[in-house]
Amino acid sequence: VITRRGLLGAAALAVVARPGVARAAIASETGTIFELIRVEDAAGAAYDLAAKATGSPVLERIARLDERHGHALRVGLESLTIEPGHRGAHAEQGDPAALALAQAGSRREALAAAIALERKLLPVYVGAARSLVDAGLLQTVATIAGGHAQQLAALRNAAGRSPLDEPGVSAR
Amino acid sequence: VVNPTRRGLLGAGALGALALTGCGDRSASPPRGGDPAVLGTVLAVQRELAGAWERVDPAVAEKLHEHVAALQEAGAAPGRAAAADVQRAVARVRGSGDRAALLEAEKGAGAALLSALPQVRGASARELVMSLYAAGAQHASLLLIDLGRDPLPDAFAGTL
Repeated sequence: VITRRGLLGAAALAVVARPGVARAAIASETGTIFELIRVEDAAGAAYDLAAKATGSPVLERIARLDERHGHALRVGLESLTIEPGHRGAHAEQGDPAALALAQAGSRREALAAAIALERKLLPVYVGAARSLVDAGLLQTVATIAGGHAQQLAALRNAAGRSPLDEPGVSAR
Repeated sequence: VVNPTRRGLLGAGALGALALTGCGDRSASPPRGGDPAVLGTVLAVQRELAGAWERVDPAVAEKLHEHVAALQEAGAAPGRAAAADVQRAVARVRGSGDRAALLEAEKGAGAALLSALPQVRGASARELVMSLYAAGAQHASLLLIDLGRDPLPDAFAGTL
């Protein structure tokens, strides 16, 4: 029977046995995933605070979705036998756009700050595709990028704007 | 969209780490024809969607035409076909009342792009496919809003 613990242990042993090869490949993407966790945690914490301050259901919903995004990214790191750690207190302070959302004084201000935050997050996720190697991680990050594109549409709709504001597409 | 389970992610990652240290890398095998072939399939999907959106919302169709142009500029091979489920759903889109069928086409397209993504080797091409996937997800939300449904489906529901 193949158990989760057995697989993780075997993978860890294999990494220890061939440290140079494994470390070089994994290091190319762990930094990217840690950075995504940082911005996701900041966004999730900011949505939490803004939802409590405004009572907005859409902000509350996105707070929960961002929490799940952070969890999915942590599971991805665990799959590489790397301990990702938990979301720290006041994570919103780690990102200026998230902090602006956390400090919004009204529902209208919060929606505008949330739209600005999502517009900043999308290119970060799309750009992460350049440094990811693992197929599973790449698909997890793409799924979360799609989620943020949808959050942007829902927020624009809640603010009375056209929902369509897709990420820039180019063959750079 | 994608449904990675926690167990699947852990198992795939652990097996990937084993493979990495032993004999290979953790990325998917590239198909014959390399990036131009993968991008060619993505182009076929975007072209199918553009045709369907023309009949529902020309402003979105215009975005899809931009996607096609970006793929051509990136070297996508011509003459590839979109997945059969995407073609079937697109064939059911005859006018602005067929948003549910178009949503099915967008879901099929999303699955096709997600599966193509790890097969792409070039960093710029990979970024392009990622941005097209995100744009498609947003188009799906647009349709969900029009259909009076929840525009924020949880892609990880029941998997983590």
